[in-house]
Amino acid sequence: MRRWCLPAGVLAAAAVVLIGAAGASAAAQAESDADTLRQAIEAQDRLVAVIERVRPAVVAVFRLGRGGRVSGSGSGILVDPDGYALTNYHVVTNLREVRCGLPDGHIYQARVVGRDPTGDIALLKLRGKKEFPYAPLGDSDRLIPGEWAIAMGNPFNLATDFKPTVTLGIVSGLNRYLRGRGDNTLIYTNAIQVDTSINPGNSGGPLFNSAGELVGINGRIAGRPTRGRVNVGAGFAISINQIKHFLPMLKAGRDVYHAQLGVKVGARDEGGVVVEEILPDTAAEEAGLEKNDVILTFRGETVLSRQHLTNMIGVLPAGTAVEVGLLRGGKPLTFDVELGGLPAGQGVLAGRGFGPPVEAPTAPSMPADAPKAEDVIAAYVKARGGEEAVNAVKGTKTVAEIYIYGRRNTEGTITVYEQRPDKVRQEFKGNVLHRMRRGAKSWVRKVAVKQVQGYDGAEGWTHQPPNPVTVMLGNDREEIRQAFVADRILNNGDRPEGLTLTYRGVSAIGERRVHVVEVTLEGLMSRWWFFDTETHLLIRSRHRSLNAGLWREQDLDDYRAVGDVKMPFQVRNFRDGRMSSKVTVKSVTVENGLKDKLFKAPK
Amino acid sequence: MQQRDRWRRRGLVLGAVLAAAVAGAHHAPGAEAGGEGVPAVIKRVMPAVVRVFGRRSAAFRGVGAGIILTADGTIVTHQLNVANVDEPTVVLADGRRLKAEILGTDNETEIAVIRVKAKGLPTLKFADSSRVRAGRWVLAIGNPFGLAREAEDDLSTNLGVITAYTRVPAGGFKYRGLVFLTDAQINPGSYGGALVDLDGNLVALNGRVITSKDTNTQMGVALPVNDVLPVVIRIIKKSKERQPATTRPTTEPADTGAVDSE
Amino acid sequence: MRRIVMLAPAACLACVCGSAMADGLKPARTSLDDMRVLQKAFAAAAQAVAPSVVTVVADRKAGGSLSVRQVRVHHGRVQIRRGAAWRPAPGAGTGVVISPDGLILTSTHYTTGRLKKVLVVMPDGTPYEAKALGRDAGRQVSLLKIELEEGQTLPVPAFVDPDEVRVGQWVMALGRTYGELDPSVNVGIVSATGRIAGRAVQTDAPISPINYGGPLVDIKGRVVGVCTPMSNSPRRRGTQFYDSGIGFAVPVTDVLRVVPRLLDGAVLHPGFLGVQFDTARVKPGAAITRVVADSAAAKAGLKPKDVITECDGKSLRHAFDLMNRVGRKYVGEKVSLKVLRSTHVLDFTVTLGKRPTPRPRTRPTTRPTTRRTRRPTTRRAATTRPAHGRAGGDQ
Repeated sequence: MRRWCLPAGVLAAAAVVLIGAAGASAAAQAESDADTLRQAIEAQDRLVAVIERVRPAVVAVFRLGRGGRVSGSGSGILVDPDGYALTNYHVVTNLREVRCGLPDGHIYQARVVGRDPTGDIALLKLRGKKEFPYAPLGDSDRLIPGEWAIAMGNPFNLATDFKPTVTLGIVSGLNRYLRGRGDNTLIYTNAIQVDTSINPGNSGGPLFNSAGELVGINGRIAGRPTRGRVNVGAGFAISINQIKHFLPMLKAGRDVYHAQLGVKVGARDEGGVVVEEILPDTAAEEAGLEKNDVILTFRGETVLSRQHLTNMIGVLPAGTAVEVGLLRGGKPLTFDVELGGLPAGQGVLAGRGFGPPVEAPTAPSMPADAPKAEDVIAAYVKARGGEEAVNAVKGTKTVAEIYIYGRRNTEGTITVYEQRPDKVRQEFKGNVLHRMRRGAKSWVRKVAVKQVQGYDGAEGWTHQPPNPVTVMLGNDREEIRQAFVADRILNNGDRPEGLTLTYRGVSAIGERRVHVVEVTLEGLMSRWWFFDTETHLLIRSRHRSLNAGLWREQDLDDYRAVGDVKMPFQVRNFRDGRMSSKVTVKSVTVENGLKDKLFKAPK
Repeated sequence: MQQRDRWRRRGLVLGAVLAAAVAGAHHAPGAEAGGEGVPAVIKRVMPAVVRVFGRRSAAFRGVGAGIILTADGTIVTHQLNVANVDEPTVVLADGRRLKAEILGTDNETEIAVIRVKAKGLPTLKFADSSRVRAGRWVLAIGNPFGLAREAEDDLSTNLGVITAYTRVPAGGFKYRGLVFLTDAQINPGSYGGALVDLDGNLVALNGRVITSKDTNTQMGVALPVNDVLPVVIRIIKKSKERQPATTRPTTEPADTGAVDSE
Repeated sequence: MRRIVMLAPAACLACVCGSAMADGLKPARTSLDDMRVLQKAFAAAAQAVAPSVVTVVADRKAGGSLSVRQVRVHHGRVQIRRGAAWRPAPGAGTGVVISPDGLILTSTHYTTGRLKKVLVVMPDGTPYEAKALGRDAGRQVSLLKIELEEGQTLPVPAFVDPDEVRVGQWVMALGRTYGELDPSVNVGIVSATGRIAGRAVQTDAPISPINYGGPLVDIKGRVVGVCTPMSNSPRRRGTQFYDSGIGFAVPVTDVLRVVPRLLDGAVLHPGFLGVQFDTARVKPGAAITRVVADSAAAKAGLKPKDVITECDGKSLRHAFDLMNRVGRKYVGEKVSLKVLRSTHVLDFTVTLGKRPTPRPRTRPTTRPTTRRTRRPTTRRAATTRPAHGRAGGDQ
């Protein structure tokens, strides 16, 4: 019987034989080869040790998909023994809960604590263990091209035992810039470029230096379109030093936004940048920067180029105070600027409405017998039914038909529950209208959709079954909160600290004459209210959205009595001058006993 | 041996000093006592690699690399970087933007030789590419995907080993000689850049990504420096004999890079 | 005058993680000495293994009926004779000698279809006819046998026990497609062990058709595995991962134990249990959500809501644990399971079945890119979702 042989045992460590070596020199050669091998093994052992030390802190992040199973894959890294872990924003987007697999073989529940959509970072908090392994944070400013860069993560969901895939490469370049998506998310400034293999699924995972310190979070790769989405030698990580700017706020459970200066700059022949345009309503405008200013320094550092300035601004949180050194007309000047915020996320994408244009009001003019703002508001409350009657309405249930203008229009019914002072729940049931065309025939295909949204006074959420519940981003949630604040000022006599009500004059919207009142809440918001001079009722509200700074208008009409109080039965919403939705109320009932549970996000 | 001497003689004849003696495979003992590392090699070599900008065309953003061959401004690059443009722009490591004159191109190797007006430019030593074996560490330096946007940005470096020294038949690739295959990834924007060893010596000129007929897979190829130099000399000679009218290569790549997310 | 850049206080979150993590190792950035030493070790290891790395020539057009007279090595390239002309052999592959009497392992990438005979060219240029015997379909390797002369033996490399392989160790993939004289070399590290249901070592060394079938070698010159395209999904062959830093090699010792069956020409398939799990479950154990009709699990009597707590005597932490244990076995082999059904603990012994054939495979993605298939360049800023792997267990 033919026996096939297993080669005997394992070669002794030093016994790498060079073929052809012979004679006396062979012995010396063999010894030198043994030395070489020993050194190589020692170098290898050092690398293996570093990897084994940090690996336990690498997590595989899974989203909860339909039917409660996990789906999708991304990566993360624990940075705190309490269970805080960093990952990419685009791995978790607006989910509240995810699952994390650790190399110990177990899967843990994790809550999304804070998000940085522009910087593509999210902070998770795992639970289920008293003390989690974690990785030490390094200093990404000390990285240099050519040093080792170790990535760990779960590309292509290969880590079925949750032990991460480890890849090795070098730092290929630093301070890289990658354009973001249309909604200002995933803008990578000052990113670390590596040739370490990074693939789909590595997102959110750690990038370590050769000492095992966390220096970046991997998130994007360059692609060659003909190869599909695989690594081709250029992966990008968000620097840990950028993340450090946001970490405390993320830990506090906030959604954070990045800084915006508000200038368009051009390159100068002699190096540096010159201001070409000041964007309206930005920090640059407020601080007094002007066109043709040469920006010499930013936070004490000389500005070398447009990209350099973008990189310096892009890693900072919104609201950071900075010192900007300028040259104006040959004279050096220093400006203290409080950087604004770059809006990001859904609201930015929403952009302008798609429906008919809004009717713009004429410029207000001050009449001879100008009333006080408070009087205009008082007249409005009286016209609605009087202070007592209005305040007695603690909650309402409204059923209405809604038509939403968009890339595809949507029509349906909404049932809105509102609870003073600050809770709302909206249930939508209807159809998305797809315009179909084949040849000369065209028709509309209706696709049914159901969605519930709510705000419970603290958190905003959306649920579109069978998808899991998602949470609103900070800016979107703040929009709702501010709407309630404004509503209480207008209807319930709230007069919070820092409030200013100013009468702006008389204007006309179409054929109706209106009183214009400006309401400002210091450091928070500013709105315009337009009251019909004859009926005293509010027919329009106008403000600048937190997202992208777009103007939003709301027209109210067809006030009818519901019990003792008049309420508008026609509402039209506008974004950036065009209608975004039209609401026709069918019925309103006063509901003073609504339970808090109604407004909380479903599990 | 003979070939090497021929270059030296030609170099003198042309009055251009092509980068100094071919370095041996061994470095001077004690020159780097093990502590400098790859980052130091990169820092030393980087100034000799430049950015070469063509005109933006629909398919290719025209951002590539080139290698300074002589201190007075002879640069070798890839044809694609100078396609459809009369005067490509060269950006030096110190930030200077210079207009370049195209001396000529070679359709077989896809090499282009250009020249800028400058003095005292840094150059690389050459390795003997015929003695480079598979398994040797190399660094590919260039500007893949145009990631080094501004003059102060470092070019990109990719680390790998020499994989093979072989012929690669591929559609649209006319060169029939031996090329280097390497682990150090090459992408659009890397073409015309340098492939150097751990001593900082130039081993090859990075070519483009081709699709091998043997495997139907994409691979980046690098042209051994021993085979690049004679072509460069030939091009320079021809340009001196001819009128200043430059040849304008018109080939464009079928592939391009884009930065994606994952 | 330049001011020192002051970081916002929030940025001073330097880690105070103490000695638990930072053990005082000076970051050795990339010491040139270490690099040169590695380079020498790579060269020596490649030379040590090279005599066992062969070229595999499968001429599918000729129906695999090439004879040794029709092949030669010319100027370092394998050529095939068609009629009177010698032409370069299209896509020669690589194989590894695993026994001195002529057994060779190669990747099924080169022996797909009903190929019965291939040609094997030794490193010294000598061609041999080889029979293509059985294959391990789960490991994507196939066994070749060449007939040797009386007393002739082939050099066999040392093989590494898969349990000894450590993540982070250096490895090289050797190939013959572009390395008839000296094998081609691609270097990387071991990225993970026990991948693809426990069958493969994962590496970031570029694995591609130039080294499929070739050995993945450690710095001591021992073979860690045979490189071959693999993937988690039964529908994708794994060739789309070529040169992406996602590569796989199958430990030879795993295959050696089934060589007798392969010698008989068997095609071995990985065992299939036939259950889906609640992969979001946090408590230990694998909770069944669905049992595939007519599967091994169905026949054994497993039901939804059953929680499998042990497999072959080892307790399960998560559903994936079970997938990995079952995945190493072949059709017809048994697993013993301990199951919790409401309050009862039951024991099951399941004979693994065969995975039902998936829908027809997508064509291999290694197609030449022609100008015609070039898509217009659009700025791809929009797609940022990570890969949607089906993390749910189908096993």
